[in-house]
Amino acid sequence: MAVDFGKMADLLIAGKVEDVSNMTQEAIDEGLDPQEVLQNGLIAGMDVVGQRFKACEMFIPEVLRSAKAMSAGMDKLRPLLSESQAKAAGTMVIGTVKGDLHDIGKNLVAMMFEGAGFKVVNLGIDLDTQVFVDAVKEHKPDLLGMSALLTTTMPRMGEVVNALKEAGIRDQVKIMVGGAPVTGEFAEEIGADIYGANAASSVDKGREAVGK
Amino acid sequence: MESIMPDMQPMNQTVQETPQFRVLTEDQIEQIYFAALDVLERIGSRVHQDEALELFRNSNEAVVSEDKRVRVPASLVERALKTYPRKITLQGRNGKRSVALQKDHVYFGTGSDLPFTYDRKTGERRRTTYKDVTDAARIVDALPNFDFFMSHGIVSDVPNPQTYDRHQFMAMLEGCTKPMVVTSVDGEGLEDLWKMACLFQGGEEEFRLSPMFVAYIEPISPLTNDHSAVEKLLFAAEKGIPAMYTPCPSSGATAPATIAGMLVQSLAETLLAAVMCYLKNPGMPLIMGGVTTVMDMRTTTYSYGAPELSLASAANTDISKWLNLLMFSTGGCSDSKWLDEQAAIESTLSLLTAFLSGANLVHDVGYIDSGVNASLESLVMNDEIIGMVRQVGKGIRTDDEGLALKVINEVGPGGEFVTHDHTYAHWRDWFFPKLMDRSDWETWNSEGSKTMSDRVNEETQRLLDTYEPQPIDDATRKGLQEIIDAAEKRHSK
Amino acid sequence: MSFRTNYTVNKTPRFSLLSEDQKARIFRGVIKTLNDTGAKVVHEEVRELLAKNRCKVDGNRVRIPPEVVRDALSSLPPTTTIYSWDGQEEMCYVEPGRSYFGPGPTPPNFIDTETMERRPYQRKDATIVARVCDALPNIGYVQSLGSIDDVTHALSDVYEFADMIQNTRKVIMNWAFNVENVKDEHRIGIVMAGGEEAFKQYPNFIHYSEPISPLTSDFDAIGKCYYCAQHRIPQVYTPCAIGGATVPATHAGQIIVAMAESMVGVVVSQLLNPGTCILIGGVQSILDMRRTIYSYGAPELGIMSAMFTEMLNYVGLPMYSTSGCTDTKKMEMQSAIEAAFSIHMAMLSGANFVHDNGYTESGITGDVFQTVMDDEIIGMSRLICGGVEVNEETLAVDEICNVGPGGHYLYEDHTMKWFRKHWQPTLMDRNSYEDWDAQGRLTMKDRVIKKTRDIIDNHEGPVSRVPAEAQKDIQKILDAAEERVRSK
Repeated sequence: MAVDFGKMADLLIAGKVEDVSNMTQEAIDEGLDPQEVLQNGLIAGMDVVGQRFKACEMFIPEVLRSAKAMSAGMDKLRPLLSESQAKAAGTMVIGTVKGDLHDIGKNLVAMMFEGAGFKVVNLGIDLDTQVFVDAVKEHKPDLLGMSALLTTTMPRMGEVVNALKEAGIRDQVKIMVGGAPVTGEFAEEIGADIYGANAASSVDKGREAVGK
Repeated sequence: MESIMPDMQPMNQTVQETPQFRVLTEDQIEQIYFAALDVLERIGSRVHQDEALELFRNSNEAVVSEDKRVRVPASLVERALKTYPRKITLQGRNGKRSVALQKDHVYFGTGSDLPFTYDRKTGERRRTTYKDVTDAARIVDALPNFDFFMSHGIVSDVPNPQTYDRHQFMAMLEGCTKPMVVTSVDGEGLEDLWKMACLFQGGEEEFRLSPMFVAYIEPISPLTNDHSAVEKLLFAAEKGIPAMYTPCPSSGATAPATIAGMLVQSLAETLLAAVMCYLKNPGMPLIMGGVTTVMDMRTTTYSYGAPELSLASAANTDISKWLNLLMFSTGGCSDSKWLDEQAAIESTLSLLTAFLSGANLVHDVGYIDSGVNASLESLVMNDEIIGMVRQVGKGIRTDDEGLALKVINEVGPGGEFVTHDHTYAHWRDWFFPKLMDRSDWETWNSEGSKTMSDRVNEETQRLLDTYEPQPIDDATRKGLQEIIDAAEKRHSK
Repeated sequence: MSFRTNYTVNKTPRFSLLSEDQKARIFRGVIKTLNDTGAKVVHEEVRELLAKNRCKVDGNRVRIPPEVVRDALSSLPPTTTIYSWDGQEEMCYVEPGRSYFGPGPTPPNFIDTETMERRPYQRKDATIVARVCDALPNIGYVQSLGSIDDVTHALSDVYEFADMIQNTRKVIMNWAFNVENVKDEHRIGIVMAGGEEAFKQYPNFIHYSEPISPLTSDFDAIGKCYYCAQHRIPQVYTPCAIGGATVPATHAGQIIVAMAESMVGVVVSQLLNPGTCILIGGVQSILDMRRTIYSYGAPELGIMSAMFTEMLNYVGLPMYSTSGCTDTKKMEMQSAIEAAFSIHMAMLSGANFVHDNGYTESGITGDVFQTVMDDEIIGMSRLICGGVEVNEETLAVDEICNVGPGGHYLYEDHTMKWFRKHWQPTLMDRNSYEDWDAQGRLTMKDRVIKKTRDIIDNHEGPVSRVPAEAQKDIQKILDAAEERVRSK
């Protein structure tokens, strides 16, 4: 029996994490093309979620449920996608800079990127500059996200950008910054590429910047 | 005709001199309290500071886990709670003991550290400067319905973000003589601010009797205490500086989506601080706090205008009174990006509710853009609203003079009261609008058809142009500058 | 399984301005005023009725003894239900603690919904107001916000009601110049209900009339009250008392006069038809002593209205209160503040029918945009006055422990279940600065205008469901009324 992509998308929209994961496995077991499963099942579902969110029919907790389902499906698919296909889905490293233990905003962005099919490496909070540098070396992400809620910790983001330059890997990655006191001008000042004003627009801008 | 009868008061009369307002019954408060105790016994709160962890370990009652989680038995919490003062009187640098924090006394003030300010010339937002903070300070000093001052904005034009707090406090002192609530970078920063304040109050002991400020400190919800917050709290405990430890949970994101659940978590965070301060120095002046609101589930904004903020804050105030703790609450703030009808509505509802609840310090008055943007005009607008709100606190007079039965009989059906002595004696009890327009259509047009925004704007400009606060004398100024310079020197390395 | 006993909750917050002793004292003041000072009643038939029932009549002056007031209060209905025009749906319960907010009657001017200019109120405006109110979720009943200028003047009340009742299923509170016109409106209500018996069973409107402060019931007002009581039409009998002008400058004195003069209507209604529904209350505010206008934005309005509501709860009468109105000339920051203040006070006090949501210019101009803004404020106030639910599930101790220090609640089932109870704004903007900027920097006023016009363009209301027969019958009533006026 062929896998019903419509149903898969519906389950994803409904935020059924287990069901989406199981159904993705079924599709794999049936020998379907993983790229097709990704496009017609998972991404098709997330597209509807995105539309409904913009129309105020779905709200953040529901969107995040769907994102989690998307992520669960991606976990099954990722090992099977060809390298170029896996790369096409995108990888992001994200964390909160040294001195800042606020992380709800950063977590929201991470979860929303998972919903966009990205592999997200969430480094956590209160991170030394070197942790970011090492993570960029190790994971070779398309995007590096950093957040700060306090004006006292904001300058740390600039330090990370400089450290990446010194390590000679600045150009391998697009850098996105966000947090309540951060602005587009500040992002420009410290040499970041993208300013994420909120979780939803971060994903839009991030995808655009890395062409995903 | 002079009456020959004695002046007779009816007996056994209980009078509500002020309104009564309450969200929770004692039973409900107890449920929330017991649940918070349960949270502290089951999961506890994480503390990222070694001295505090040591204090908890040495208590022989709290349990400290490998992951820095501290769990506390109910018995220790209850012992700690018995030690806190029920009264703190703040004295501004003007020498007036004008803020008497005690049960059901309500004072209003600004919030702090807004990164942006609307430039009055360009109408565009930009980073907040030292001058913006001084301007806000002057306006708050001038406005009669503001009782205390927080910085409103965060100074960005300073040499070093690690010492911004000293400059910011200086900017506050330049413009405002009223008592304050201050933010600081860390323990060392708080120490400098305290030394600066002691220059005005006449030393450490005098500061303890008449503190000039309360230190604003916040944990991170859920149940996390970062290093600098704990450092500040322990320093305040050591020196007897009034401090508030005020959680800012967002219901649905960093706290449960139910208001009761948010209050449980928020109380658990407060109670942990209460135990921590108790272990450091029993009886230090701790104030309970909370900006308890929802995360908007469409925009992910931490909402300063949500009606839930008003309801949860009022309920939280009920809890604080039951615990015999003073309360730092929230009102007069908005999610609106512009000082408009939305800002007016959100400010009015939250101020009225906060006042009725009897919270002691109501802060964030004048916040717009969900705590991101500062607007001087919003302070002026809110001053008028607070005036209206305080009118409710005057209550209803029901003695013979208030009932006016003889006057009613004298005037009789179809008569008028405008020319009666009774009216002359009492019309001044009413609220006098400064910014609200009550003219008729023709007059309003002939006077330029001004909106309230126009009048708020004019009044703001008038205050900025004319208001001069009591200056700081040269000796004190020199002392302040020395403290700031020393801090810069330490941090320039 | 329950482990708990002796648990009492505040389902909603408790708010009060007066102690029991204070209420008793004010009520004694009302009783004494009615007995000693009495009221002027300019209606012979009514005076005869009162004289026959133990009242002292001296010329126009009627003094009402305490026992007559007591009897009237004891025969009031504890609850009355008002229905949609077709009797199909229970729309309003007149009983303690239930608050229905609506616009007010009769300002001469209206803010044109297209041009935003102030101009005389026109017939088409009544339909617009009815349809907009029909669409607003927090508006509980409907009044016109005007008095129609472009029909036969003597019948503008009847035209207004005829149009409005066909354009909303919500309960209408109508007004009339005189008893003849009340009769017309009564006929229209009967037509819509489907007959006289149906109307008696399922009354579909409330009638509004007004005594004059201080202590005067004029011929038309008390005549209308008399007619409504006879026919068991639910009614409002309320003054617009002006503190420091038509009543004393102290709030207690003001409420004593207002309550005493309205009590004439209560006594008359209960003598004629025990158990018929009557509300009192009205506009309680002050004379601005600088501008000499009757202030609709003064905080005293909210305070006295809340106090009056407590007094009426005390004696078992429903309260017709006031909110959502302003002294400013158009919807703006000032009207937002004044409306939010009075709405919240009315909600806290639990007034029953709360009118004037949409009054600007101190009651001179009706503004449906203000009504739309008030609708949002009412929603917010209702949330605050909705209380905190405290039980095992809402306390969420298990969830707090599961999430733990440093976690978040966005994935929790508990959040999925409960977040939709958070109040959802329709006009309040919570975008980030960047999104707000990108979307054209709309202010609240822009959004109110857009929402109002969307409703006007898209919300049709129930007019197409009014039976053709009923429409014809209503036209006949209007034609007959025109004939009557012409023949005078």
